[in-house]
This record gives sequence, structure tokens and C-alpha cells, in this order.
Amino acid sequence: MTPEFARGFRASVPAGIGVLVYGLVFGVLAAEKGVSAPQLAIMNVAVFSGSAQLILVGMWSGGFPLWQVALAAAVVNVRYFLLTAAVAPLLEPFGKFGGAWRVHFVTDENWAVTMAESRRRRVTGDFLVGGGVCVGLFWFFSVLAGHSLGFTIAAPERFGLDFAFTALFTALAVTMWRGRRDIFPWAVSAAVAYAAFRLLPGAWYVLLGGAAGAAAAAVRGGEEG
Amino acid sequence: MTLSGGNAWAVIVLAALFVYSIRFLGMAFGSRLPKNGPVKRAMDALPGTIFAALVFPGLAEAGLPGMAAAGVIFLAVRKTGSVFLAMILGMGTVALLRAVTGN
Repeated sequence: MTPEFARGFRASVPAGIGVLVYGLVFGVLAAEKGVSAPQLAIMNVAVFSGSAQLILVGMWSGGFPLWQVALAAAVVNVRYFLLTAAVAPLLEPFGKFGGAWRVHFVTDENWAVTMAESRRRRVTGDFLVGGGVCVGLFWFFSVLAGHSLGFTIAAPERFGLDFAFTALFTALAVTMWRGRRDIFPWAVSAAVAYAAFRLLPGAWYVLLGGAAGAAAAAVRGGEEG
Repeated sequence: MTLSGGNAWAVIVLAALFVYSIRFLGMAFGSRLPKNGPVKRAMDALPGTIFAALVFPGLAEAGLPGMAAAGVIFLAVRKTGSVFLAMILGMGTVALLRAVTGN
């Protein structure tokens, strides 16, 4: 463990505490959906993305084709392409193989911490990875803790727990709202999604609606984000 | 139908492969992506439109409690900035309306 790794780890602790709250909630919801603890544990390590895992678990009991569920989980994470592109110079010194496993430790939280730090001084890839390990530990244990709590709640519909996913997704959608320039893409997305939801089987409505909305943003000019 | 057994593991492995591919490809090729123009606008809009597509049909089908909860959630996020609080208030709204209407 290098000093840079330790610095990155420490710098990401506040972000990790935010992750902990989110992880507890996610764990409770996953228990509600019937995801087992071993499945969650592997998912936390192998997928290691809150938004992708949320989509995965949200669609867990929908009877959707597997590849559609996995694809929807991946598509919501397309932004990682931009995150890892931005930190590619930090990972380059580790070589092809060294970069290939380290890039798995890029999450929203330690990415933001690393980018902020890089404005003040020269950071290294170890700082980034230290932050990723920190966020990962908080994520792993909070999700499993939430999962063990989740099984103790009886008659979930009395507390509106069956509505939890829709509520959480709605709240997250509101945070992603970028103002007036989103009106057109989101309207297209909602209209296409609703039509596909009614007319097509499976999870096509998520993929088609999301793609149509993004295409709408592409064809309409205007300011950039 | 709930995912179980081999199907559950398959969907986890598949999602892990997809998500890792995005991370790896971004690191390897991300610098070649256009910094502006239609592709950039589509990529920036995509996470939001995915959530809009995911949420809207469910809310439309959930009826009055669902729509009322959506309004509460919208206001709660805009006023407090807390996703967690908004979610709890949304769930509370649904539970309350169900209790009142006896469903």
C-alpha cells in the first residue's frame, strides 16, 4: 500500500458514508425482491455500480429476458465511459494489464474526489484506486447489512415498500433533470417508453425509451452540457 | 417470475461483463470520443432519459396514489435535495392513500 493509496482512501471516507446510506436502502430493497446474500455479495464486487445494480434488482422479478435486464443495467452506466476516459492518463503508467484491473475501481464517488484533488496537485492512479477500495468496502458491507435487515420486515405493502423502487427511481430521475433542455428528450423518452410498455413484451420500453430520448437530444441542437 | 438459480447468476455475470466493458473501453478509447456535437449530447442525455423511460410507464399505471406520490417526490427532491427523504415521503404517501381508501 503506497502513501498515495492511503491518501485516496482517506479522502473518499466522506463519500463512503454517503454510499453507506444508499447501500443500506439498496440492501433492504434487494431482500424484498428475493435476491440472496451470496448473489448480492458477488454483485457488489463484480458489477460494483449502484445505479446498474439498482436497475438489475429493480427488474429482478419482472420476468424479463436476461440479456435485456443486463443491457438495461449497462446502458444506465454509459457515463462510466466518460469517467474512465478522463482518468485514463492516471492509469496509463501501470501498463495494459495493470490498468485493466484498476479501472474496475472507478465509481462516481472516488472519481469526483480524484478529479477535485487533481485540480490542486498532481495525483496518481494509486490515489484513485485507494478511493475506489474505500467506496467499495462501504458499499459491500452496507448492502449486506441492509439485506439482513430487510428480511425482518413483514407485510411490506403496508409500509408502501413495494412502491419503494418506483419512488427511488422517480427521485433519482428528478436529480438527473438538467432543466428546460431536458423537456424535449424526456417527453420523447416517456412517450416511446409508454407505447413500448403497452405494445411490446419484456423490458424493451426501458431501452427504446432511453435510446429515443438520447436521439432526440442529439438531433436537437442548442447548448451543450 | 423471480430470477433464481442459474438465471440469477447468469444475469449478474452478464451485467458485470457489460459494465466492466464500459469502464475498460472508456479508458482505452474514450479520448477519441467527440467533445461536442450530437454524439456528446446523446451521451449526456442518456442516463436521464433511461430513468424517464423506466419510471413513466410505472407511474402511469400506478393510478392516483402513484401520481400523488410522484408529485410529493418531485417537490421533496427540489426542496431538500435528499433522494432518501424523497423516497421515504413517496412511500409514505402511497401507504397513507392506501390506508385512507382501504386498498
